[in-house]
Amino acid sequence: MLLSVSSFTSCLSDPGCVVFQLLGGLSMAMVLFLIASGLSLIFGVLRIVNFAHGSMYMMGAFTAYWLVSRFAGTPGHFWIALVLAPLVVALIGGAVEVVLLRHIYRRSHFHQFLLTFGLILIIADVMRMSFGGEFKSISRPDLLSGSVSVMGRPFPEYNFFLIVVALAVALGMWLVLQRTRLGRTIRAAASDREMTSALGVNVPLLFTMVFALGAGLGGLAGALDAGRGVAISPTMDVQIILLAFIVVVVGGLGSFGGSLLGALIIAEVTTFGILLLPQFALAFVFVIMAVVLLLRPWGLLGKPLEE
Amino acid sequence: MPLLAGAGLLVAAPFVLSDFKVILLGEIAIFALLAVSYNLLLGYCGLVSFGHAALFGIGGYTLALILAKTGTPFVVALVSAPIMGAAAALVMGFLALRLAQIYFALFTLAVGQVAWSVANKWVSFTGGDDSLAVTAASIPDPISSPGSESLYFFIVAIVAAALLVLYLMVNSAFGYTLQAMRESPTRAEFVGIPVRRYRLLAFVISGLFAGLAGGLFAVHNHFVHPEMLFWLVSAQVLLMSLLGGVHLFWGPALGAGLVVYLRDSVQGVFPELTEKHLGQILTLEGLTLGAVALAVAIFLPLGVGGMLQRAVRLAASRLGARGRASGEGPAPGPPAFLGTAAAEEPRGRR
Repeated sequence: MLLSVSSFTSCLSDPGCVVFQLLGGLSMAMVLFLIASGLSLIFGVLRIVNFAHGSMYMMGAFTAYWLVSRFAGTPGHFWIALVLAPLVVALIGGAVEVVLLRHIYRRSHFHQFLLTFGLILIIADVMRMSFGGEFKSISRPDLLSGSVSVMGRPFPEYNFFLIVVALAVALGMWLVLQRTRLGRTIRAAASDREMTSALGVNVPLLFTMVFALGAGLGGLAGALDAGRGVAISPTMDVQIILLAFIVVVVGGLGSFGGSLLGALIIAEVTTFGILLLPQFALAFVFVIMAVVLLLRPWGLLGKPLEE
Repeated sequence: MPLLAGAGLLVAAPFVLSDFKVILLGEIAIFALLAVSYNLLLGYCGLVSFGHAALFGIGGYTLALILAKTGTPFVVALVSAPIMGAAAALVMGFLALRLAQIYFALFTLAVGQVAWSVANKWVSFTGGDDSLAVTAASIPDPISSPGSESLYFFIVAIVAAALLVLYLMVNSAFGYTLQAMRESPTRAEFVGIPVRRYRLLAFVISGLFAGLAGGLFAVHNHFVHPEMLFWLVSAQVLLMSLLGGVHLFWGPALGAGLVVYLRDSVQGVFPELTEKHLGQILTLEGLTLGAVALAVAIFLPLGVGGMLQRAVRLAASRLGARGRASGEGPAPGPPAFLGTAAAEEPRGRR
């Protein structure tokens, strides 16, 4: 059946099920938020729509997988992977900015789309060559392998950990953006690149740092998701990038708070939508994206772009 | 002259080449049509759409579904493909053209993905991921066998006719109006051109020919699959157009030929890698096309066609200079079809 009203209403009438679904949606939202905030930050400052951002997430997951298998005997190998994987991806991101992106800021957006599309293809093939095309996974760290009972249903401890980490990163990012000199510079560059440059800020360096930071956030999301037991494969990039686009469009391209709000909306809609329309939950979020674009192209919390 | 020579080569091709190469040529023709139809938006209007694959797929599914579910004659199914492509484009374009640049691109991405989800998930209707077959029995006899000369001529003739129509269109007042709007929508609006209506017309025509290309693809390959509608196909068409050169009418067709040929020729290049991956097919298609995409974005903003055009013009002006010196008359102009170039410099530096 296309529509399964019964499973939807039976869940809604059971508070335990609602809370459980909400929590599941929240852990999905947090991963989406990490990815989307990186994408949004890069767009806000560099004015590049980075189609290859899903590839950063994928590299984070593969790097975590590689590190976990590499340090399999070492105690705490998962934690080593979780810390190192985002750093590796941030370094790759910085290199990509310096070697490639830097040359196309003044090109038309056709060429910017084309370049990030090329990156998607190359990164996916490199991952396929290095790790093969079959699905990989890593097991949850021993410390967090259990479950907590949430109103009688087992909810993985790891997902709580994931939510806490993502919230901490969100808070940290907010503090950096609002309260530090670097954050002020980033915000200044986002609103007026030329003026910021004229005031003596090293804008090229700033762009590299922002791209690396955005890529690192994507990589962190990938590593966290890998730890949850998500199937790691060379096709996970194009699946996640679409969700990330939906999130940033709904929340507002370039808006940090918007990424959080968009991620919450999209994750909860998906979680509950799967109960109602198991086949078409994904189609439904694309409809939401289209509607938001028509009514409020700059998103719920974004600001209209001045061209 | 070059046009006649090209036509001669295309006619001779199936008698000289293997069946496999003939199939490849047919595929190139179909993607050439798809890319040229895409360029009506990209090159002539300055709009990047990620929904073009959906229009292509809708054309393909229209033909396949009509043939599979009804007893309608083949011709009706073939004509329905472009009509449905145009109808879908009308809806998509009517909404999308309210939006500027990046939002336009993201909106067409979203709508295209809705269409993809339907093709992928409405399994009882479309067959979903298992793909939907176009049986040889439902196609008239002479063109029902893949790799046959008659199928090849059928595809090439329709594509050539469609390209001719598009060519006449972009060289009419309509085509020049589109280009004027691209250079300055505000100015075009001031002189009384209804910009949105013209762009919508361009979008619908683009969808019409994308739908036709999809229908031909279904006939040529004997099946349709949801991947036809996936946004990465639109991105590949973007690559074809920019690789060939979006300022030239024939540029995207050239790009389509290069991309389809490359995609085909990198298969099985590295057997040792294939073995290393336990029989997994490793084509290096992504690495090759990705490298081409990076090279075009960074080094070749005008595309291969744009570079060739420059070379021809340079050669022509050199020859012309020498010709004048020796009193041989005026410099020969570039061939007529190269004259459709809109601008020398890449746009978007506004």
